[in-house]
Amino acid sequence: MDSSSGIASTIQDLRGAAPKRSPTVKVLASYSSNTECNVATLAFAAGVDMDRLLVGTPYQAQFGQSPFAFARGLQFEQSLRYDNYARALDLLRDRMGFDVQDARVENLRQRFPRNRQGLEMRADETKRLVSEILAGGKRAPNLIDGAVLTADVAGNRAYFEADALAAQFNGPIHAGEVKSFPIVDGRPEPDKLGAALDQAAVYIHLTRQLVDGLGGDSDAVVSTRAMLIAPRNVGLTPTLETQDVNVRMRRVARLLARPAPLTEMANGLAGGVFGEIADRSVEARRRIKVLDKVVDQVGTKYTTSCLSTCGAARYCRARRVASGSPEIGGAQLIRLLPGISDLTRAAALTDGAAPTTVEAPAASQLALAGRLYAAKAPAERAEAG
Amino acid sequence: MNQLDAALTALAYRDGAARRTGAYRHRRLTQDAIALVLWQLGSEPFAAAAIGYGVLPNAPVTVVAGDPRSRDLAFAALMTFAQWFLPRFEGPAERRETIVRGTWKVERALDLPQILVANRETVDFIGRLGRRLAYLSMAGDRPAPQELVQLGRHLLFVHRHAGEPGQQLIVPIGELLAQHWATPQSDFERASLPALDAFITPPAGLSGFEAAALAEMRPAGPAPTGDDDTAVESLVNAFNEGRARRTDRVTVDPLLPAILSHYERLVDPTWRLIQRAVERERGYPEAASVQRRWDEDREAYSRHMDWMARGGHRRTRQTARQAIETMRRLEDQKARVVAEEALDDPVRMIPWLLDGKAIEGTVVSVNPDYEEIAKVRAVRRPLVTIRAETPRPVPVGKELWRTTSPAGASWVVHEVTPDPKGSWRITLKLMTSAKTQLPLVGATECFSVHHFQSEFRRRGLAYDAPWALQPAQSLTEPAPIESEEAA
Repeated sequence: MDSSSGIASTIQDLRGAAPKRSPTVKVLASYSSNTECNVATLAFAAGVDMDRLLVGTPYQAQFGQSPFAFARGLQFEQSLRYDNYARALDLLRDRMGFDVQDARVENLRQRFPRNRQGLEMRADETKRLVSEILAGGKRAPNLIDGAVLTADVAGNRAYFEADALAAQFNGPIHAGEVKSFPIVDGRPEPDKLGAALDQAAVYIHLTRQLVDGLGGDSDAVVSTRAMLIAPRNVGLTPTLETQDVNVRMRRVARLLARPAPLTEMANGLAGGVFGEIADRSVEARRRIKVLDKVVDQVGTKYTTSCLSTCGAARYCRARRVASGSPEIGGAQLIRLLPGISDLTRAAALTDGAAPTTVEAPAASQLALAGRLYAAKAPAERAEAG
Repeated sequence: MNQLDAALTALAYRDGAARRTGAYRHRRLTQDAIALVLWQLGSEPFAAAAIGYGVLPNAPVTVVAGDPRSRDLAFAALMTFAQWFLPRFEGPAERRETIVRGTWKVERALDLPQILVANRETVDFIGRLGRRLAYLSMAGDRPAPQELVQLGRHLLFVHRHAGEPGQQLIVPIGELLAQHWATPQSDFERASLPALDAFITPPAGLSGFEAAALAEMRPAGPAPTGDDDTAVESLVNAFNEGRARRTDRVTVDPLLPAILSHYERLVDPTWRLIQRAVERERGYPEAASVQRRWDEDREAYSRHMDWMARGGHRRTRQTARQAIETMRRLEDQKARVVAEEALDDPVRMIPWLLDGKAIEGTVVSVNPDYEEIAKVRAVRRPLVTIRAETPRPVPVGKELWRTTSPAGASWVVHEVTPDPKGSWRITLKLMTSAKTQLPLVGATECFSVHHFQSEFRRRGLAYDAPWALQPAQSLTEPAPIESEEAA
């Protein structure tokens, strides 16, 4: 780290000129599957955009969004706001049984600037509105569009913009998530539904924290039933489905409550080190060398789910491939090769090499598998090239 | 993943070459299969931006909608495809054979219109297109053309049938490869046809890993990459400007070429991947039980075609009773396919040998006249002893079937004694006194848990589902899912 600006004094210093990413719910959801990885944790805490960190290197991730997909989402969200939220309120009446006559809707997106300061102001306003709801005030809103909730994530205040709506009509507060994937015959696609419910669970958890902070009883005041608002069938006519997300919510709570030993992890790392890695004016090989050093020092945890959640996963995979770690095959392979940390060694055992004591349980199966395969497999092999 | 897969994955890692997980090919690949490549626009779930179709090894014909968000344009592209697809898909239903099963007579088409696609996502997309088209209204002020409804019902059937274990009506080539090759990749990577295929046959000069890492950046569809859609965005905008909301062919056709060539560049690599993989897999001999499953597919296809002829409707959600019966049937079917593959293919039997669910060895003695008391009378129970190399002994009393007669009587493990040099002498007792061809001394014999004897099962569920399984709303007839907004 020749161009280093000295040892980082705070976690934020690590970022340097690296692309920044504020912890939105999506970011939190994807980080939540990588919490055991120290590099991911540091990058998350420092607000580094991992998806763009390795742009220009062979390990660059492909997480770009289609402009059409983006437009579809936006159009659907907008359609809920038309005519003073007519469609959203219709859904709340028809599907939730709320009395939406004279409903008061607060749109926080319109009233505040779209920057960090605006987010802070919206967070304050959200807090004020929720306390009005708790007090049962006459002017308390029924629907808040663009509520902003806060949490301390890895030592920093993070602002979560609920792209969804919090609704309250003579009952507990409900949080919801707006998505543009379709619900057909009453069923959304399962994996998309899961991601949406995870996000809703974050909002519900943060709303509960807010209510607790204001002296309310979150169990009574905040429902754990998440509302999913999504288009029905072809087209963008909205529909609403609910699902209890209690379990997901407790997972979020655990994730946010667990303090990471950040200062320990970052100990000795140079300030702006992520900026160095992200610096596109430098040759890719040198950028990767910097990353190598960071990884050697703090360590990573690679699982195959990283490939769909972390922008540096292809780099980590290449390292594991180089070392022959069974991690490249996934959890099942690791489980089937107890006591063996190297696939080259597993191959040798398959060919009948003498095992060590630790390797013995897996080795006899491997050796037998190797003998049987040699006896029964087709002679010819796929030709490379 | 099983013990054999783990060993083969290690070998594949060390040698940098994928390993075959079977001596045979366990799915049929016909010479005249229909190949299909689909692309979406963004995340538009119910409209294809491009459809590439044809019969391998010919080049594909690609048809594009222009802007699939317009119903008329999306339907026009599907219509072009339907006119090609319908005669090919429906043709085989005309020539039939009659099968007699006891008092039943079943008609069955002689051939099956097989469909090849890149991956499971394409199968799901086919299902969504089918769902949209199958129940379109053919009356009213915007009647849907008969051909599209017909296409929709076929696609819906194909998608539903794709869930049948071992079916071969529609073959996602990526899955076919994953079923037959071990590579040191995760399931996530192996689900990508380009990445898996690249590892199996990397281009000259690249390792499997390098080739796969490059190939995974170019998905095989139907979801486009952000870059692909960014590239087509200006073309679609220009197209929409040019047509000024008109959807007639005279206006639209001259505006399509730019978009068409964009999608041809996406269809072609996927097409070549399918072609390459199919050609390689055809080089392996077909497993014996493929024919039985092919016959079942033909029967299901014939039933579907008859149902079409009657103009039938089918619920888009099952009742609890139907769902339970379907589940049970699929589980049975799955077990049967697993058993067939192990019995057809000595390599597929290895995991069972490793797992103590099968034994194999040389016959050392046969005692055809052994008798024991069954209830009152002494009955003949032939004994066969094999010397088996197995890491753990099978328990006495375990019921096994000889792999050469999985539908015959079972064998029970009678006695197990250790043999020098780490092998075991296992004596098996045939559970029938009927005259049977017994194994010969010196022959290699394999016994496994796999068999085709039907198990006794109480038939018939209660007609009314218990309250806990009753839906809140009664299930409705399938209805069109077209947008309710003025299009």
